[in-house]
Amino acid sequence: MKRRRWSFLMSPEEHDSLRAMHDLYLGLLTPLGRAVLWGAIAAGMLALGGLARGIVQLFAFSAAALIAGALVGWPFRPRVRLQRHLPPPVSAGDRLEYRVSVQNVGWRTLRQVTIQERGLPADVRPAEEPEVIPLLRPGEKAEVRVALHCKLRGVYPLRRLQAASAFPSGLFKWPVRTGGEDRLVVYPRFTPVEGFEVPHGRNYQPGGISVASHVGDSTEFFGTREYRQGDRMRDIHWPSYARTGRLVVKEFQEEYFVRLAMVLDIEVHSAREEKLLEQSLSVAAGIADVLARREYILDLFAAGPRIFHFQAGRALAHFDHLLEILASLESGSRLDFAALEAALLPEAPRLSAVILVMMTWDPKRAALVRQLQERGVAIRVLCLRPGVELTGLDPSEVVRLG
Amino acid sequence: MSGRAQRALALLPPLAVLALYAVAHQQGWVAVPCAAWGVWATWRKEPLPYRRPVFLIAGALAVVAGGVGSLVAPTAPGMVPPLLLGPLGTGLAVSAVYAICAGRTLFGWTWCALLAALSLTVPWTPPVAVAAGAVFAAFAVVMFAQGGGARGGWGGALGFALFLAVTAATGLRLERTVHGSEGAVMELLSAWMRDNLLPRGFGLEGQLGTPRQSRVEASDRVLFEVEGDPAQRLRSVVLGELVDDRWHQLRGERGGVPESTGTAVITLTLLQELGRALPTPAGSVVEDASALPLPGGVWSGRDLRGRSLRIRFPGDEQLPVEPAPTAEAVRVSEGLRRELESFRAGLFAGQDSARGKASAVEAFFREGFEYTLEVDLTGRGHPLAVLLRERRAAYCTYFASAMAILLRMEGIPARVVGGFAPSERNPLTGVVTVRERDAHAWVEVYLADEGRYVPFDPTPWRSRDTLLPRGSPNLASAALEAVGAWVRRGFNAFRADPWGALQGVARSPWLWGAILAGLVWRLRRHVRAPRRALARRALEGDDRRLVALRAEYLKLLAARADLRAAPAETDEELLARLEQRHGPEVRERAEAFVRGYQQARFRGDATVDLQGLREALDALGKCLGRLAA
Repeated sequence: MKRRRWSFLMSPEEHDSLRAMHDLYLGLLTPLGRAVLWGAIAAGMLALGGLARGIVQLFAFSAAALIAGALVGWPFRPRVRLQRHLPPPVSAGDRLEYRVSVQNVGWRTLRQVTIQERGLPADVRPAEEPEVIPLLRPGEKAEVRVALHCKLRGVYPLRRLQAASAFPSGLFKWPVRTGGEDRLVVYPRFTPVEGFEVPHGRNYQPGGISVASHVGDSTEFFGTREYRQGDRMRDIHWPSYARTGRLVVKEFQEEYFVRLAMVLDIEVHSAREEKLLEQSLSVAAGIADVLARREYILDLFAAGPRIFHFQAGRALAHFDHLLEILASLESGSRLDFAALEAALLPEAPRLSAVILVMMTWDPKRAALVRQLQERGVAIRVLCLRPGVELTGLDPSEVVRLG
Repeated sequence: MSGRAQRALALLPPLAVLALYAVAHQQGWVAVPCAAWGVWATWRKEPLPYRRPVFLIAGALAVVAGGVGSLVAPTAPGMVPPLLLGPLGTGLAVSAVYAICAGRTLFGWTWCALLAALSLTVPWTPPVAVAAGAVFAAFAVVMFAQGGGARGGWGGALGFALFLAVTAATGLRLERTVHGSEGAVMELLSAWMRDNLLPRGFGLEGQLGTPRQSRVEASDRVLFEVEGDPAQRLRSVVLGELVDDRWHQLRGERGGVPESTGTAVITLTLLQELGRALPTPAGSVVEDASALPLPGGVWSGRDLRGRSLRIRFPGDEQLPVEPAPTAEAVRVSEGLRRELESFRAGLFAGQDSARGKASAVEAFFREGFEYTLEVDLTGRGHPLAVLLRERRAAYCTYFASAMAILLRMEGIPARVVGGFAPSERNPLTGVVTVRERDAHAWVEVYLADEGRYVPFDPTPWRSRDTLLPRGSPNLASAALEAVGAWVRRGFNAFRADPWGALQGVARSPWLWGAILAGLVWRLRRHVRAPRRALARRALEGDDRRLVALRAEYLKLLAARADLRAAPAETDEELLARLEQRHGPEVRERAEAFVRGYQQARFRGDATVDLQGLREALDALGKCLGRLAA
């Protein structure tokens, strides 16, 4: 789970204690129960000004109803088996809806059963009141829909799926937590990037497609020819031998690909800059989408206090993998230029171009770009911070979003 | 259940609460249209559309209408003022009905509950009781439906009946408990609020009696702080008139501001409201226009919390010379005189002078009595007679009162003075902290030969020190206290004069010192940064291309030879391991690169053969690749 940067303007639910209280409030009380609780609180406050009979009665009976709901509801706790059916990941800001199958594994008929997630992080909140299953007989199965509002990208564990019954009070829900842990991936908000052109030359890539797809060592299948003395047995193409009766071997060739690197600057110093980073990642996701649809190999460098280097293959369904990496990136307090150079510059001879998504523009960043240029690598720089002038760069090297 | 039926069920509590509001506060003009609107909206096929702007505008209009309406038809007098309840009640009523009809039951019911609470702030009458019963019943019906009782057959009904029974029993018990503990609960709450929430003042009373039973709190609450060397006692109030056996504050003409003759100076910062009395040393002059002198040489002032007052005083706790007091200064009621007469007889034996007599009485109390915070003087006669007869324990005001009366009976003018006896000086800051428990009372006796009042203290300090130890805190506590005092002073100063406090902060040498330290630190970081870069360059070399090649070499070994260089491993050791694992051919290739790298890196070779190094590295890569295949 991502570490949040404290800000004076952060929302109440980003405070752990308040969120825990809110979680209890939503998890243990039905909407009617919450209304009764507020009635009790209001009456209690008014009673401080004097013990008027009506006020005391309202306070006493509201509080008593909640207490009685908790006491009487205890024997009716549900015994159920739960299973989440998570759909493909959604993007930040989207609503995630998924099904949960519920099976009554107890011997008692269950009434007014609700299923909801508990212990959710601040960036994933329930989108609506949980659906109610009015009746669930022993052994019977049902499905409910759970909706979550995913506010920010990330990889979040879903640990506490709760089944609760509001029977008989309709106020208090006795919870039973069950269900295994699932992983919820929320991709960055996707900014579509139209017409993003990358200058490229085709460089020799030892390893061919295999390296492009997953790092390894192999070559690309090129064709077949007749067997010659000294050819390896494992290269014999047996279907051709079956058809023609002659030994035919497979031929391979080394591959040439366009290899690109994307450097993501994740140096952040304030909660405000966190938002800028989210925008940058959103654009990076858009650029990655454009690149993934073409025959490119993409190296992703996340540059903060530590450098993370991810190698992704050619357009072989790796885009989701890339988005998952972007989803799980965390900001850092400084950018270690020495480490970035040590990781990036050795790769420069094999790179056609480097796309740098920068948080700001300063001499150190400019120096890094110069070093890449000196190695003959084409550069594209993008910086979303308002008012930042990308000095020292040719206009064609600056990426401007429409 | 159809949607319309569900909405009708959800509307039951609002209807009942509207009825209660109408009955309790005669607000039918609000309740009836709202109820009609709710019924009409429920009767519709579709629920009302929920639009937040519409909802907010409706609520705001309702509040305005309620405000206007409360001028024409005010709500019933109760705990909440009509001018507040009118707009609030109307806003809640409209919002609740709209929310329910738009399917937002949580909001609707919550506002219903709040409106019900507001409606029940009126006296309990039969119509109100009936309407309140309807509200409880409406909520019970909704609970029955929401709890699944309606679908549960007999089992569901039984479960709900059990719930109702437990609710009724618990509710009745709770109601009795709340009513029964009215005093205790309210006392507890008010004490808590007084101690924690409400700003409270501290004032020495203008009257002082000697009740039979009394108890004082030895609170640690800080009242004010003194910078400088204060006198042993700080005077706040002079009680010089004894009327009906109670001491009263001196009255008389308020004089002009006396001339400042003292040489000692202290600065007093009030952290709490102390009423009008200002604690000052004897014979002092407060150098502040908002402080006024009172008879008896004490000072008063209002709204001085947070202010720092400069006070000048003689330093030897001497009151100014003044003419002999009038007969009022020796007045004692006949009844009291009769009761205490028997104790006076042996007390002054052998003493001729007023000072000698005063000292004798002071010693009598100091040595023969005990100090306590809980006084019990029940018994026959006046409490002071019980105190003297049975030598019971008491606190300062009893001893001071008894001494002053005994001296008056002897014809010596005496009065009781209330104030503080500071005892806690912070060893780190030198600031004297005065707490509530430092409040004290003593006696001032007019000595004709000196022409002035002189303080005497009959309190048995030996016993008091056992109960309330005095002294300075240890260093850790002193540091904490210093920080606390600084925060308190800052808060109070800001509260009293925000602009002045900000100006004070801007002028503070501490602030500029901190800024300077920060700048130096930043500068030092900049100075250190190149040094670190130099160190790194010494280790890794100037040429980035070389660094990159070496990084690539290590990466290659890690990826293809599964060999990672340990942090302190030399090139030779790494090559030895490489040979051990992959044979001499690989070592040879790697060695070719390492030698070339070392040549370029350490021998200052001006013509670095980067191409050769690259080729050596590629050869090593291919060799490792071949081996892997």
